[in-house]
Amino acid sequence: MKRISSVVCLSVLLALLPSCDKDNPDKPADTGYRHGVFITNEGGFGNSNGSVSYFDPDSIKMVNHIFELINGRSLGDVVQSMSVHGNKGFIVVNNSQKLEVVDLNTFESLGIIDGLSYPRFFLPVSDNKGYLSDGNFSGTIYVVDTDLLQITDSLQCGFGPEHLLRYGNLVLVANSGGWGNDSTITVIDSRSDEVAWTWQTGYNPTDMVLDGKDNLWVLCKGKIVWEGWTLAEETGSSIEVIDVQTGSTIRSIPVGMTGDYFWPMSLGVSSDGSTIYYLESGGVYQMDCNASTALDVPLIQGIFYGFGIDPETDLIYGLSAPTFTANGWLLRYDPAGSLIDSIEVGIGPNRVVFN
Amino acid sequence: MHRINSFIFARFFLLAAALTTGIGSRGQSVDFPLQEIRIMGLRKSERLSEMHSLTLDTILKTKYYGDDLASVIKRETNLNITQYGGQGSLTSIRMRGTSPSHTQINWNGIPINSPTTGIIDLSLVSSNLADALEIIYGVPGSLFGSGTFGGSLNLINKPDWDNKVSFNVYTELGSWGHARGGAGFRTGNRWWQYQAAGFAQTSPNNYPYRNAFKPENPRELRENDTLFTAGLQQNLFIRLGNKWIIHSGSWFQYRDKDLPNAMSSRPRWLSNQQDYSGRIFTRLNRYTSKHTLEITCAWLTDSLYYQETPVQEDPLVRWSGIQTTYLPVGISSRWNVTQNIRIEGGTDFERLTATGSSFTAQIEEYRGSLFVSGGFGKNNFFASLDLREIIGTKTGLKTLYSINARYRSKKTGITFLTMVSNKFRLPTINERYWIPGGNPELLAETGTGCDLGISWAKSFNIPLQTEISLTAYFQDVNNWIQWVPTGTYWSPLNVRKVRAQGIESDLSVRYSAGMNRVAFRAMYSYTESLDFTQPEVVSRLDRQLPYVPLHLLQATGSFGVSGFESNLTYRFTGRRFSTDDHDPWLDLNPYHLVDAQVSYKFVFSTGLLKLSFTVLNLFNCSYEMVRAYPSPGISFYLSAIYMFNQTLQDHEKD
Repeated sequence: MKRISSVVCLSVLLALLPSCDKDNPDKPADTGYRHGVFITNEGGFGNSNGSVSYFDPDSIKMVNHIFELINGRSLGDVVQSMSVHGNKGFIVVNNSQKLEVVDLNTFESLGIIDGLSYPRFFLPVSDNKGYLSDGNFSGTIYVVDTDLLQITDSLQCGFGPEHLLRYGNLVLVANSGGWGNDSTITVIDSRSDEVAWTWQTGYNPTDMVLDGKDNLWVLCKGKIVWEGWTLAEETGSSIEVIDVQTGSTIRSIPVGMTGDYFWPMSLGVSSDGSTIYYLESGGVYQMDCNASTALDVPLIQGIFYGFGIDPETDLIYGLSAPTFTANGWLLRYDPAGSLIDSIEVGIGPNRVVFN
Repeated sequence: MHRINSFIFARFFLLAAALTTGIGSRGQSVDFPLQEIRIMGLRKSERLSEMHSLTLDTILKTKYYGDDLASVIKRETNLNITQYGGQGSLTSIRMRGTSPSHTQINWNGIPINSPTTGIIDLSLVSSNLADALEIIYGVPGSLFGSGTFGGSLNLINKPDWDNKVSFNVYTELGSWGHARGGAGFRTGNRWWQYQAAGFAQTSPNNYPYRNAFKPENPRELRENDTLFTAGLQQNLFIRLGNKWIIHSGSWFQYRDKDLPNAMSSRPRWLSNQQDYSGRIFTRLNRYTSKHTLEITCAWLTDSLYYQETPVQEDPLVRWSGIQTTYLPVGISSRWNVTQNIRIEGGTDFERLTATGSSFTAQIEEYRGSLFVSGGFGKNNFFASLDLREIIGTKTGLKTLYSINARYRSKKTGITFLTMVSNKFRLPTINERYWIPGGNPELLAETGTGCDLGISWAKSFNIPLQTEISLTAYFQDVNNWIQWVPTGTYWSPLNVRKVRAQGIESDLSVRYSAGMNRVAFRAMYSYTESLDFTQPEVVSRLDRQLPYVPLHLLQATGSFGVSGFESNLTYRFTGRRFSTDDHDPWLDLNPYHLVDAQVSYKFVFSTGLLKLSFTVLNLFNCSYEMVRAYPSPGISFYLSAIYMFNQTLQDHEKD
């Protein structure tokens, strides 16, 4: 009797204990990975060690290599970007030429779209459609059915398409020039999946944001001409402010400096759209959305490989990649530029995705 | 990647060791001789007995004829090799936990490391173009010059003054369309000897592998990994009287190699590299009982062309090329002042040039060195002091020194070796002048090292020989050059400070009676290569450099009866990290490899024919030497070599 009683007690106790997710103890119980912050880590080029990190800002917990943890295999070479829509995450792995789709509840892989050439960014356009930019010379926008995980159509755009931005039924594509030069933005009507217009802008547009007045801010890296492996020509970088209704340039703001031909790299905007941020070789800079000149002094000094602005708190997430043979760092700053904390992430962190 | 059951391997290995004995040739020898070895005028070889070294000679001609140096080293030593895939893939060596640019490769005493990268691709060197391979661990900079933190590999050509006419022809066919062939010819008399050897090889390398980066690890075939290579070498030895010897040599080689992508990517472009190399030298030696003079001059040129062809659309083909020339001239003179005292002095001069699309203009450099040395030996004790001063480098280099001592106990047969020295590596042309990012202000890498070795060799009354050696060492490398991101692009900086330390052990047992031969050899090394640039670590081994395993073990059993020979080789490579911070998600699993070979030789009155069947990676182990680059699985090779007017014993003459 005593023995049976002990067993019963033990069984009852075990039944009352909260269940443990042994495979993933850091996964939020209710929401999976549908809320939080993702950091895409490129990895070292050719080393196949790109990854995604998941950060919970409430618990200040970071889970690195989350894809490997859940799926038992590596993501691949050069994780370029990630976007989210509903319960799905879309991870673009550039040098593995694929788009990996995951279930954000579990981060399990739902499927792969491969056969790509030089994929860069994916933008969900609707619940079952998205656009994928691809190409390091002549560019292509692939129309992707996100239910079937298939490419259903393709559009020609400019050289080296990079970021995509949605404005109502329009999708704007920054044609960064790839390994050449370009100075256009392709405008796609997402209702018909056709190119509606092509806008002229500064040389090599690479990133775009909309401010609080619905003006389009375009980061243009400047023209770069190589003769063999020697830099033959470089023009200045600029931020172009464009009327998104007409495509005409409102004003052009010079930024950057001669000799920084891999910079500036990315743009950000505050939650109310009043402040624009951009990344240069000296650090993170900011400017008012009404400004016509750039400041000389950065808000945050340092060498960052990427950054993001939290749309809820306006915290600045800086990404440091001191080397491509060891992990990088996420450094969080308050809107005034004071460091809050730093957390280790994967190799070559380049982008922050807020969900 | 599946893991090999270590227990199964251990059982197999013990069983194999019990069953296999003997070696078809007594080719390899552990170099702890009682007397100094003189390899005909090679200054760099005359000090072999003062350092931990290994010499492979006969085995190059019998077991590995036509194989590249990478294959020989992988199967005959436990040195740390990294290779990017199949036959002819880029292969580099990391001796004693250092980098590939820290091992000096010499051809008849002349460094053939690339002036641009500081390394040489071991798959470019064919073993049939050398009569002996000397492996020397941790060579002092005062003796050998730049780039010797890890050690040195010396390829030696030797004359056979008794030879009149001899030649050999060989061919090999293997898995995945591999084909190799070559020939060698020798003629002369006691006053002159001429040697010529050539080879050609084609290997498609389309081997199957499991892709660990895709769901369900699908089986795929390796693509874009094809190799074609060919080479020709000639050597002429002339005796002028009894005092003068002239040795002239030439070596021309071509390689066309497709460069495969990592497993995780599909080729967006097809990469290809072509290498052309031409090397000629002349050495003059004068010998008397009291004096040795050596004068060497050489001219080496290397060209590398790299091309990328897009797979889809984009007709643009990108290519780049680099051409280098290296002209070393040296003179050394040694006097045997008394029976016990030796002094030596000399000078070297070098001219390097490089042109290519990665440099703004032709690079041209001149540098030289002055060296002196003194040695004393008596009653089985020998000690030496060497000094070298480098001139014209502007890299902050100070005087180099080495102090060596060796003692052999006649009573016990035990030899003790010790060496304290500093070593250096001059920055390469790429590190200083590459566009963009090259840093002309780089300092030389320098560091002090120490070796302590003990060995015991015994020949018993029965024809049984046994040799045991144990060497402990440490080697500092300061100002280690590393390419780091500097904002806009990457640049090399003197950032690292590394302490390499470890133990090397070697056991060999050989028995030969007539035509029956049995041999066993085991080599084990424990290597720590600790990066002290990292400020915060939990334990010492958290500092271990990437791609340096703590444990390396190699064991070979050989057995021969009459014309039949069999060899079984086992190799264990321990876990390696692929990142500086040892991310466990990115490390490389340890792996076990077993190779087997059986052969039979038919002996004729004028020579012999040897047929061999070789299986590499007998248990089809899936492993990576470099992350995401799969190595070949099990493969089979059938080879035949015919030697006219030669026997195996001919190759045993030194």
